[in-house]
Amino acid sequence: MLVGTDEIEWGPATLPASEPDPAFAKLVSGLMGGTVPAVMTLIHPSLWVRETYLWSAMQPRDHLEARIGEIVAFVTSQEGSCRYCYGITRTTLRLVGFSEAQVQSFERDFQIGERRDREVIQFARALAKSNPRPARREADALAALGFGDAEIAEIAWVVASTCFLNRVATLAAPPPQVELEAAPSKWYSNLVLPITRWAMRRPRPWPDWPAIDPALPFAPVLAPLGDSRPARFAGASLHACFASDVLPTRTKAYLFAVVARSLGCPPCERLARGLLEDEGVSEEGCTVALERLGSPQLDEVEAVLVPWVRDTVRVGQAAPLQRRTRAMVERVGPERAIEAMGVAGLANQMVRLAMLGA
Amino acid sequence: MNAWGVAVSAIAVAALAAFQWLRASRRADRAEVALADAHATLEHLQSAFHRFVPEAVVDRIADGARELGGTTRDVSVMFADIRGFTTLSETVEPAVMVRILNGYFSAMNEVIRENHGRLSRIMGDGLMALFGALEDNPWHPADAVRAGLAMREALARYNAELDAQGLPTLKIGIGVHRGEVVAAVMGCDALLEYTVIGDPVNTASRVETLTKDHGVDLLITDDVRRGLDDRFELRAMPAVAVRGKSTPVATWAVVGLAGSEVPR
Repeated sequence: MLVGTDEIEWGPATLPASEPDPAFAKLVSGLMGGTVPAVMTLIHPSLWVRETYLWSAMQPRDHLEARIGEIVAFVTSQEGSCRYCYGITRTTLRLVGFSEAQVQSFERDFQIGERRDREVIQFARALAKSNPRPARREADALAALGFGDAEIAEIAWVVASTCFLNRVATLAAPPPQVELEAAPSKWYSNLVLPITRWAMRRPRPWPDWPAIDPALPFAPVLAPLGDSRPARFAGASLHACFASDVLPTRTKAYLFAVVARSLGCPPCERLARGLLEDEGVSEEGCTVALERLGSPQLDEVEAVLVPWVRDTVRVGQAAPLQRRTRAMVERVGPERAIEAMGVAGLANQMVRLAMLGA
Repeated sequence: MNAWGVAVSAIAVAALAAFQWLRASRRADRAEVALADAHATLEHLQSAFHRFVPEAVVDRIADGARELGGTTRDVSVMFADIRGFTTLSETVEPAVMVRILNGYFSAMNEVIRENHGRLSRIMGDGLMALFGALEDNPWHPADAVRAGLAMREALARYNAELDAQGLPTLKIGIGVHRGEVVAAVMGCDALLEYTVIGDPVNTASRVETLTKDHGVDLLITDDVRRGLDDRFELRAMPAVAVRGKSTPVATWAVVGLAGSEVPR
């Protein structure tokens, strides 16, 4: 576990920056405190990646109280070694009213504070690290403290969706939001605390996401979330991901399969292999590609992305991964690279979430 | 009591309350500073401990894990040794030799980590690295061989630095074998070490010594070769009897890696 934003090595952006279209910029700044965050200037060319990023950051929840969601997002970003998200989630905690001492106690695992908070933090860290991936019974420990099934599912959901944010931000490597991070130390921050808390926790204008189509790839993973808002949002993200034609379905299925194998999730790997078979990849061909992270059957882009995506699973230090990602971007071009980053994030999200069904 | 009496009493109570509050607040501040100091010390110890025991193991210990009795894992074990080290150490000042060695270990550690490995032990001029010991890694044989190839390149770069400083350059031999080992924190109260034990460790060490006999720098066993694909260019070496093995050990020299992988 890295403690402190200054312990995380962070490289320059891996993608070219540009201004998003005015309509999207207006939506983003309306939801994100009047500015367009640096990460959006890098990933906005992919419609589904930017939408998934934006609404994941808004943290759709039906059952979980906001403060638990904020703590979980913070410790998950810390475990994910994402300098960008770590800074933002830390600042969020301060701006909604957590004291510096409280934040440090979460950050440094001081065994003080409420037992429920400590157990939630422990669970979130275990799921974010996934070394090994926790089993459902580990989530059951939270039930003993009075968390309901729906709340536990949403805790896992917040970890998983924060993993998406962490992966995309780490891979795109936007500059950390240092001005925002300085906000809680301003002399007037306590005076405007009620306003910032309200602004950050106010009801969101959630899009009307449709119910999950059972035929959707990886729909079974979302079953523990029921028909909740997070489930519908995750379903919409999956649908948009697989509907995009920047990378073929086969390539995306390979990326999901590699992440599933890296995290030791046979049910997810089976789902990904099923997709590959639907795309005409033989079982043997699939086995060869997954066992060797390379195969003559892979096309030129897959040959680059398949070995690259396994490095997105457990991020020790961000800088080496960002170096490799920069080389990946050079090989496949920015458009495909943004989509590959989104798929890597979504695969990391879904495979961690699948723990609930294990 | 008249109004003045009430007012004076109220002021006295308020002053007492303020005093108590101030005292409690100061105590809390002192406790916070003490806690922060204690944590800084613990962090310092933990980061020092990371140099002896892998971070993941330290974290498990810190999380209160009781189970440190060891786990059986399928891993790839790598040994690397500097060729002609004894002769070299006779020609160079000890302080310079230490500097050369530290630079070498740093360079090797970097590429081992980049290839999902972990430097487990340094023994004089030799090192042992593990792949797949600390986290599930279905690709550890290929990672170990990629690391071996990266070490070859990293050594060439390091030798260029040494040469530019007028210092002697290094040659190494690397052996890799794969198999089931017991991984655990071992030792006693005075000295603890995270390491692995088992026959594959001994075999990997023997394979490393075979690099001298075969005149190559990177040798792997058949068990490792089975985890590789045809992008790895290998050359079969004659099977050789080694100490502790009833049958001769077949090895393969690694020539290189074809194809266009994203460089690490």
